Amino acid sequence: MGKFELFLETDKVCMYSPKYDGETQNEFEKFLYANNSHSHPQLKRFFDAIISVIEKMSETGAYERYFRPEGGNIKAVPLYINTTKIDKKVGKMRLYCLRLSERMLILGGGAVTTALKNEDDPVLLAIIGDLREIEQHIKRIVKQANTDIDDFVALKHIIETITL
Amino acid sequence: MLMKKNLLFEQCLANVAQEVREEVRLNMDIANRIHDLLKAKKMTQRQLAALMGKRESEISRWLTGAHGYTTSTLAKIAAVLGEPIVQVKREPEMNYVFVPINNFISPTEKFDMFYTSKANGSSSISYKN
Repeated sequence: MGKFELFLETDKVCMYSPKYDGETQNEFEKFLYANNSHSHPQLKRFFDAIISVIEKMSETGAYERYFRPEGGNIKAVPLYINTTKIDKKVGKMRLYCLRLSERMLILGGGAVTTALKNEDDPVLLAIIGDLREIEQHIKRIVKQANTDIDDFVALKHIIETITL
Repeated sequence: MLMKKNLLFEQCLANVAQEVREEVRLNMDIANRIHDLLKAKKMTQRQLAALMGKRESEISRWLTGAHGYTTSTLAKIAAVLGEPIVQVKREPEMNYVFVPINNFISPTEKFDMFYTSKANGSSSISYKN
């Protein structure tokens, strides 16, 4: 059981993260705590890029075009830095989110992975699985409420009252 | 306008390397600029790709930040779209007026003064009284 916690709100976008009962941090905060003090420059660079992208999205909105078209609404937060010369043994950092609309973003968890494909990493796979369940749950509630996912006010109300 | 913020996120943001933040913001601004130009010119990514002799997937990688732009790429996109993508701030040009030296009258000549330079590097101006 859990709830969504609002952690960042601007006139362009609202960003929430799931927080489960008995836990002191939401999923995004866990990601921040786990990754904000990497000593390896490559991982620090990945982390800084993710934070900077979220900051920029808070100013512009979470445009669909920012994300790679990977199918569905579960997306990896894009990096917008040059990553062509990374050390694959050190790994890359991924943060996953559920993009509901330009104005509504659910940030999930993330991790460092050395897997060639993100789908081959069990930790990332679990994070994606959790977000997929959340997406299905939200869609059900939105349908029951006879509203639309693009209705920002109605969706905001649902997100803030839904039980996970 | 920021209406709610998370303290931990703010702390992380304060520790972001400035060069990474600038790279991200620049790349996202460029992606937005190209998107806006394509929209204004009613062009698709596929059409842009065709005009540039690239695959559509490559254009998509640029616009989603998975692939960096070179100045050569930016120049090519600007040429194809007929609009600048990035603009570099330039100082306004200085206009100099060159005066022939034989027409120059120094203030000391004009006002009947004497300019003396000494060996120790100091100098003095004397007036006729």
